[in-house]
Amino acid sequence: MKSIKRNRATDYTNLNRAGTFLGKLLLKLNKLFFSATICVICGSLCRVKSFQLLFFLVVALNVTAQNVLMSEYPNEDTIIPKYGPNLKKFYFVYIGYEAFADDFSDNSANIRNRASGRTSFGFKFKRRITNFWALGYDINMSSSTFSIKQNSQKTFPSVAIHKKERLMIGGLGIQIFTRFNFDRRGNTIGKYLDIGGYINWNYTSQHFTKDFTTPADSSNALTIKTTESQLNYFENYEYGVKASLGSNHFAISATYRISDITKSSFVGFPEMPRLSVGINLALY
Amino acid sequence: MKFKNNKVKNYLIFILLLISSNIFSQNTYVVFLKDKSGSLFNPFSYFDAKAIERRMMLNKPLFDSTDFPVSNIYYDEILKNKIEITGHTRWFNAIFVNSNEKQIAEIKKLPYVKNVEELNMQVVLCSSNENIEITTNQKTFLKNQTGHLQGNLFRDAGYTGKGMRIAIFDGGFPGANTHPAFEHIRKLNRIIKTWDFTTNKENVYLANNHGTNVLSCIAGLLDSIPIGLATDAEFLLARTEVASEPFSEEKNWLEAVEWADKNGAQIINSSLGYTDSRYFPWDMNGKKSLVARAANMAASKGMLVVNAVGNEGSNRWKKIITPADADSVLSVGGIDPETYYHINFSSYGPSTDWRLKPNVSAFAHVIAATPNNIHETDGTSFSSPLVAGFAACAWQTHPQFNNMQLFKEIEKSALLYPYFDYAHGYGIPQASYFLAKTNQVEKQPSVTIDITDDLLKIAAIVLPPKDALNKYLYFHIKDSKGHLKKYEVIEVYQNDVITLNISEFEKGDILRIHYLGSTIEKQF
Repeated sequence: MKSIKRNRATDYTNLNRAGTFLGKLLLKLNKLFFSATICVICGSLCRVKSFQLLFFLVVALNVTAQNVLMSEYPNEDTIIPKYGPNLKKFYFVYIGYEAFADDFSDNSANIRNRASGRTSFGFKFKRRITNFWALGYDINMSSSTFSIKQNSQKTFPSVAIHKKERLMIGGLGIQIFTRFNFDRRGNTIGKYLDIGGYINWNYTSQHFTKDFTTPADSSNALTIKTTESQLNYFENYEYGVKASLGSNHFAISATYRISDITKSSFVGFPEMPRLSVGINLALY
Repeated sequence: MKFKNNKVKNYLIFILLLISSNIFSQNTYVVFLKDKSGSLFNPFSYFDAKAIERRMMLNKPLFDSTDFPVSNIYYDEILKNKIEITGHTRWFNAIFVNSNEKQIAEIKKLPYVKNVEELNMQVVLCSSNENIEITTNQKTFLKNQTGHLQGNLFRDAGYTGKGMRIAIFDGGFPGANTHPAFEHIRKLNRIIKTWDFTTNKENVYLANNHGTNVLSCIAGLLDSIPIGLATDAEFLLARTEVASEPFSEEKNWLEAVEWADKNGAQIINSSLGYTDSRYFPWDMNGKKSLVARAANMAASKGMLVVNAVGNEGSNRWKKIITPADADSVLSVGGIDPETYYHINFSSYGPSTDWRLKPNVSAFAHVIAATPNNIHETDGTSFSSPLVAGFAACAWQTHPQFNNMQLFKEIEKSALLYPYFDYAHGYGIPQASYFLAKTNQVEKQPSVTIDITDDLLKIAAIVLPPKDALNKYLYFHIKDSKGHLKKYEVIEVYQNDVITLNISEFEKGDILRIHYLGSTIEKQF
């Protein structure tokens, strides 16, 4: 569809606009006077006059042209598009945050739930099958942070007590999902339930600590931060199931990790929380 | 498995309840019934005298089965099933219920139930954001606002909509009971009835001021300057939409249209429409939506339904909205008062089945009354009431017209007629047509078509522009099925306007050009 805004001239390849001859002539004259301007280097007055003439010609060229204000091809509007929130294909990016809820295990990491969570950013593709059913995939990057409680029961990752301590796992993942819609609707996402499985490649893991100390020879406190990367007690891959319950741009999601994230060879090391619940915002 | 953290567990339960209550909540359904068993009807006690008068004038029957009430027997039986009934429609012989899917499955089994449709749609009030800044040029602006329809001619001839009854469906009319722009209406008690279909109460002077804007564009009068044309008309004000509610039901629109009929409305203005919460642009065929069908039914009962085409022209939807897609609805597009051609946000036609929409156009940037003041505002919401006011005056000039004759005459009165396109329809209706039929006078063509070799050249007489209208040349190419393949508006500055390749045309195509008030055509 060609939609022409007000006061904007447009030309088309299949239309020979009247005034082309005049336009060409004026353009030639413009070039001539422009060349003359460059040639007249010894008299600034002459140059000013030439520029004035050039300006006049350019203005004249514009005001004498026909102005196509609107040009519509209605047949093009009848083509049913394939891309849209409730059309054949739809894709969008989203951001999400899920808080870790629990690991359903007695041998769990001693983590602070409120400060632990997973932030994700991803691309979601949806293929409509019927008005009530769709399939799709989701490619995402995520960062999971586990804040460790500092108390006497602490054994993981070490017994050492710090001012602050957290573990971070960075992942690249793919999710395959099936979507069930609940409402009859037009070209909107509507209300839906997504159920799917995911697999993540944990490409990085880090252990951060933060402590304060006051050296014996100084009255000023020092902050000591440590970072340990590529933690050998975490698995490189994880998989699980994910569900989202949403309405248009917003969704509440829950992820449950089926696989262990802590390597079984590290006997006594606890498992990290498996369930996370949070919100997603679709950007489209 | 157990939750270690009770707070997390509580959060989870709360979130799940919140979402599930949203997703699995009750919906509104329309239960269509097979017959009207046992229902009795007395038109003289049901209809307002004005409604009976309209029917008799238009030779419409007083006993029409569609006006019979819904069967009390069926109504009570559905009620017995502990289902919440929120309303009913006589015309469609249906009951509106709030229920869940399980209850609906039971209702479908009832022997007298024809079918059930779900209703939950997002309404669009067809106006853009307001600008409350008042300029010193407002009086001039207001004169143009009615002047572009030649409202001054109607007014000078004494046609101000007197005796005409106009129903307005909108989101609320705050200030209509206090604003000085409506004092002349209140003084003579010309607001005949009001009803809020969202709360089932009489007070409509609340909520969204969109209705106040719209009413002023039909009948507002400030310092003796009319804001709309039908300043002496009578009004039925219906609040049918709840703007703050994301999902509104079209059931209110259906109930309101029957209420308007019952109370003798001759014209209905609806600056409302429904889009993508339920429909796709290609559903705009005038048959799919219930409101479009109801609008057609209203027309069949003798009312002229005027509806805005919507403000979707510059967004993804682009097309007209429903019920502007209904074939018997006078759909009104938007004109930019500065340029006098299509305003960029006004929705485009045609309907999906290629009927001409919009039918006519009017200013879509207006001065309208707010609850306490006046302001400039945008939207085809205001084009529609300007034309509704025009229609009231036009009908007053020719009371013998029926609603569809008036519809056709309004189209014929428009500036571009017989030229049309899917952005302007036939253009801006003109009062002079109804007073003296001046624009039926043949004008000398001021444009010529010349074919040499494989080129078609269009040449025009260039006049010093007195106003913007003098500058525009409109042309369209219509195929043998009557569909426009292409249309353009060109601002003309020189005699040789455009050259087209003959190869663009197929056998049966018609090139039609409108310029300086005359239309010429060339058939291939």
